[in-house]
Amino acid sequence: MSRPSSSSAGPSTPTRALSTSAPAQQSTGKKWLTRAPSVYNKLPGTLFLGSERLVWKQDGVPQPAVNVRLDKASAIFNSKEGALPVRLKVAFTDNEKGYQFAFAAPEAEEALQQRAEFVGLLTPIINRNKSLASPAPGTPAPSTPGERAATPMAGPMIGQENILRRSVLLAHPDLAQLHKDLVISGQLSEAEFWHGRESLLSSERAAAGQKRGRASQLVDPKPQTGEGGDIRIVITPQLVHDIFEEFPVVARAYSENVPNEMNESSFWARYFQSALFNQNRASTRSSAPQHTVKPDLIFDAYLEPEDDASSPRQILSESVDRLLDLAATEEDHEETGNEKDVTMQPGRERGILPLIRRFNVHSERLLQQALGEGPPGKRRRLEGGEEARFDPNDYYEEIVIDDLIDHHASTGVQLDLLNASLFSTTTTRAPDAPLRTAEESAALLSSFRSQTHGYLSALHSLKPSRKAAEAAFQGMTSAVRAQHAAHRSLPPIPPEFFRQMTTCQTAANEFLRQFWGAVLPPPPPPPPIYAGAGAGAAGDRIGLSGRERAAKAQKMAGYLARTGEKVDALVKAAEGEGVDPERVRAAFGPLMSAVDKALKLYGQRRKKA
Amino acid sequence: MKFNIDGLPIVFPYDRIYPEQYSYMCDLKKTLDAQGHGVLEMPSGTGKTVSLLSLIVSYQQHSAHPRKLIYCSRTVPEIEKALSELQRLIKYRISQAETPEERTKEESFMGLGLTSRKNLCLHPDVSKEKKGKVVDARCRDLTNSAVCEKGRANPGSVPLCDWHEKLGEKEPGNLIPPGVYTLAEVLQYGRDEGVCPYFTIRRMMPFVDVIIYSFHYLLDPKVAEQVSKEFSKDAIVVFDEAHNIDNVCLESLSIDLTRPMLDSAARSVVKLTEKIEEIKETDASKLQDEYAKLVEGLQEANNDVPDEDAFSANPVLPDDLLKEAVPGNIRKAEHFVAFLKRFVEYLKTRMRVLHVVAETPLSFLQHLKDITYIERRPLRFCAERLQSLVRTLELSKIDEHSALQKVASFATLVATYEKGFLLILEPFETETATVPNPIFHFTCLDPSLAIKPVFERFSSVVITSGTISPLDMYPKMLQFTPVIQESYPMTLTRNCFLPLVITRGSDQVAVSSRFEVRNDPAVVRNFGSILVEYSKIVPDGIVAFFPSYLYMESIVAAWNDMGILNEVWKNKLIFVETPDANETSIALENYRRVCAPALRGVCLAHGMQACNNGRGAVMLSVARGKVSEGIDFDHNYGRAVIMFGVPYQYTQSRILRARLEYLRDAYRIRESEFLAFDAMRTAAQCVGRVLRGKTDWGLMVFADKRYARADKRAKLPRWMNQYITETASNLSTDMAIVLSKLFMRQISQNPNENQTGISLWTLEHIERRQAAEREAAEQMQVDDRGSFEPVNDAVPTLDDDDEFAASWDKFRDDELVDVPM
Repeated sequence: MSRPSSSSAGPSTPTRALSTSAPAQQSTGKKWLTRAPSVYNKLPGTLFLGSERLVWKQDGVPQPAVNVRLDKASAIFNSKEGALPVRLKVAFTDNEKGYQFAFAAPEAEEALQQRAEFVGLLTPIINRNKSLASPAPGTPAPSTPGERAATPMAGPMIGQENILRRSVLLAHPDLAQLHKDLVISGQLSEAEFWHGRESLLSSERAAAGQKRGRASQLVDPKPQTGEGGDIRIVITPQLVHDIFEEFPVVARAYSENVPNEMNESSFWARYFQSALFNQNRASTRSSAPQHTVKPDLIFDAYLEPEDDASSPRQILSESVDRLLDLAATEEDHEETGNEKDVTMQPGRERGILPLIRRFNVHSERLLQQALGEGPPGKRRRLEGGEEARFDPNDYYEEIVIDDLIDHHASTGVQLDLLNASLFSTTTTRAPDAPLRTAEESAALLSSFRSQTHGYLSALHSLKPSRKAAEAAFQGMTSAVRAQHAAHRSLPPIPPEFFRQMTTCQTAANEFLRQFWGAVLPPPPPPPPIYAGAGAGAAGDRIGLSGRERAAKAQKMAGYLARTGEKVDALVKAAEGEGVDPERVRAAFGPLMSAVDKALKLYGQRRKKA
Repeated sequence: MKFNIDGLPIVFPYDRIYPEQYSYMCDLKKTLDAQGHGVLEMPSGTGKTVSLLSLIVSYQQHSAHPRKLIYCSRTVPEIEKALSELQRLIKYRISQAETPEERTKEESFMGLGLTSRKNLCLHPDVSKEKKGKVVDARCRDLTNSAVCEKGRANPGSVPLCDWHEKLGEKEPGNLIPPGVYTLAEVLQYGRDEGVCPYFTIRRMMPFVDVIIYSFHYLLDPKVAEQVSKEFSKDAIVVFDEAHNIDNVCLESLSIDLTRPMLDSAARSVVKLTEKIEEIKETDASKLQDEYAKLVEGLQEANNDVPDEDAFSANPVLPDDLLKEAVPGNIRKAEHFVAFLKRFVEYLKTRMRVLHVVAETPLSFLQHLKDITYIERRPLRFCAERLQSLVRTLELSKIDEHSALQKVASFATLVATYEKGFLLILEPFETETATVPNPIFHFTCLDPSLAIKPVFERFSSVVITSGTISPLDMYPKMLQFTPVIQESYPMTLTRNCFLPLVITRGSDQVAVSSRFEVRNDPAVVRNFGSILVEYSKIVPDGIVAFFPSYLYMESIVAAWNDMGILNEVWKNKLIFVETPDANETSIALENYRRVCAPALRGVCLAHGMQACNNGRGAVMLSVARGKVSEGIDFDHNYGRAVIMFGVPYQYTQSRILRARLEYLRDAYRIRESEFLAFDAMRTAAQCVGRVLRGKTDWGLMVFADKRYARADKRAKLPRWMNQYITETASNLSTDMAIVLSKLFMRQISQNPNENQTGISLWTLEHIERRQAAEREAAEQMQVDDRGSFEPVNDAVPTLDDDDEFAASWDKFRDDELVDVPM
């Protein structure tokens, strides 16, 4: 998921991460669709709009403070007509607060014009996003494979891959730094860098593939009390859409009465004062006296009786899964016993039942919009007639305990021994011959017995001398003390030099990783959890042939061979920085031994080849 | 796998076995061998049903004279699951059979389940009826022997049920091919063959090896008399999910009468009178025959009543009563009706009282006698006498007379039992109500009364559940002596569930559902924030339970008004239990669709847009409610269960108070002890529904400060309590969230670590364990000390190292010398 960076991002790492992605962006040869001087967070700057991104740069600062992708833009808001300054707010699905810009053109006219231009360009983008995010009202979203063509998945594989990589880098500043040091400087190719990091990409892909859908809150416009005590409800097109969807009866009222009986604004004004609105509110507040409503001839015709009886007004003809059928239990035997006490009688609070029912219906509707009707085969339903035969295997998934079934263990990874013949024992012995003959075993046993004979009595008489114990403790204590003191007295390493050391270390580590990745046998294919997750699953697996692997190993060995020089250079430079060179050398000790090991193995392999 | 327990060959339909399953089977076998009763508690989700069935079926198939198994469960879904388990077991046994004879034996094994006509009816009109009572009555009208006789003699004269008629064509005892059938399969069979599933099962009951039905069919004497009287004494009776058995017992002997009921009963009396007049004119001999039979005694009168004719039996079962002659003053039909009329009138007058009355049956009878001269003896025969009359008059649409039947049952019960019952008249529904709506409660206080005939009649009765702690409570309440009473700990290689006790919100205000504070805004908000926080971090399904419907409904409204639910909507869909069972089932189904694992796979694969529904859902329901019984929330369907408050019963209830008093006086169970026991078993039952198998995982959140007290927690099942750490027993919301996150991060790691040998046994482990036991037993005989205890607790793990450990035992303490340091 790309992380929109806000201007408030204080630490230096994210900005650096952004700068790494900036060149890649410019290299795609993108031109700005429009631009305008504007104020963001009280700072003057310029707002740029590209076909994919919205960027704002502060004047005199090369890095953009706002740089966001537009495919998550969800809404734009204008400041009121005539109000100054002229503002534009862009909201995103993953950032509902969004960004607010004020157009800084000296003339209000010009600012308005600029804003109109932005709005004109942004609107189609947002409409497109919306149509992708939520299906058209009224029609459930069918999950046909054809629809996948409309999603960004089907875009050019490489572009898709780049976007993924970029967002991974944005999310991991350390990785971005390494990427900058190695790839942008040309030491490693892009593909090499990502080799072995496929899991990051695949999880990123999974996250990107999961688009956010409709918010699932209940539609419940809350009136706000204005200054003069007047009550107002702000109506947006989105709200109208939601209301129509949630309450078909309002949509019906609208289509039957507007514009013949009344115009749109009076429709809404009357609706929000009607008993119908009060019935539709997700609240039990309506019983409060201040919400007494005026009778309204038109709207009251659409009122439905409250659904507050203990069985729902709507008769549910659907039969349910037999393993969830609560009614079957109620009807399993005649009701017996005393009445339940007051607290255990469901539905006593009548005012709340309609609300509870609305929760269930709302959830069901959201579910159906997302999934369409459930696959009929999955539902263990008891249907009349011949068409649906009952399959007993359906119950098994509910009752079988998986742990108790012996799933055969995996075959394991075969060891790749350096000198396999040395360790091979199978060839010298017939495969089914016992490991030892009986005599050998007996001899072994008796020798073991004689060795351990008297072992216990010796243990009883073990009496370590007091002096020895004290000496040992003293030795240990003094060693710890000395180490502690030495550690404390060390002067700090200057930050700049320390950074150089870290860079050297991480780069060498990366080379080592690449080297071993090329030398060791390739890992088994990943579990197929995400295999079907994205169309680009094959794109990130860089299948290297043997020759390529050899070439890569050679290249990496070359880099590694030069690590020594770099370390030496650092050790030398240490003196200039006022750091003890031995300390630096010691710090690189483990790294150097790892490098030596790698080089030694590489040397052996070369000799063998 | 196949193995032996003390020479009994067991076939277990899995490759591995949990250690607790093995121990459970051993103890169950001991119970059966001893022909005694047992109380066994085994952790939820560790395959109790399959162990039980596996052992008992092995027991049956091995013995020369198989004992029938009567397996009782609580709900229809549970019955259906148990049938399916049995079916799977028999399939496995068939596949594992070694000789053709064995194979035939397995193939001829029969197992059926029984439920009401309502759930099994195929008749196109009758099955459409909403109420079970109406289905029963209409079915009876189409199938009773008198109607059938008429219909067969003169086809078309009276409507008959084709499905029932077709059954008569089949050979009795061979109505359905041998095998195990789930309820759905019997229905399907009925549809295919055009026969009635209900009567297929009823008539096959004497021939089956296993019958599975609900508690009521054995405990409710009205039903048991019809359904279960033919089972032989040596049958094995199992009550599964029996943590509520005492309540079922009480319910089956308690009756409520209301004013509308009495009015309806009075109308029935009038109708009966008219009918008697009519019969007198047309067919007087019928009534005389009945009279003659009643002189002989009820048993004669009721003998040879086919199943189709029986409609409601006597609520009590004393045999001597049935042999006695019916008292003279109610032998004549018109006298009996007049007698009923007087009794109903008396009850109506009692209802006019505007203050609460509580009295014993004896005092009620005395008052009745003083006012109406109705004696106790004829009253006892009321229910049976009414049944006989209805049969004689060939009444149809019995459901219209159900109120009168209730009155008759009431009369019989009140005249039969002197102790263990109380009559409470409540003129007002609530304390504050002003309009009287009187209810006459006839309430049973002693759970042992209903189950007594079962314990007396059957030699082995096993009571088992995932949560029946403390175990000794049940023998005390139900008045029986178990030969085995055992609770098994859960062996785990990793803690697959995390119980947490939240005692206060992040603002340090204590949370509690105690009556005085439960509606305090701070408490409501803190409860709400628990739900909000968990909805943010828990994947898939969350189930929340409330102590009562009243509280759930008020808190849902409060949360909605406070905007708390809006926060939850952001993360999860919300479903709520409603009063209507069908509506709730649909909500549950949708809930499970949201949480289904397959669904999320689809979302990912198709890159679907509106995938906010991959987030899962919250199900709000009530402890002791419909959802808490018999619905499992395992795997994705419940990653966290939140128990808001302690589910105490409503202590203001007069019935509960009377019951508590009785328990104190009769069985020395203190009120507070019983209340806490009852609340904790309910809570444990609710949270225990999250697990199935040991690779499943779930959070169990107890949100109430009272759970922090050790005496409360001690009443939780041992397997649950053993995993509540000291730190986790007193948390604030934020601390609990931190622990939960940590737990989920750990548990989401690869579960394929090796459990084998510790929490999962192969055949080898069983054999090793048995060898160790034998050795221990031998040593016991050799050793005079007798202090050697067989390794029993904590189900030890035996591998090669342990044999070494055993030899350490031989060293005496005094031989060891201190090591100076």
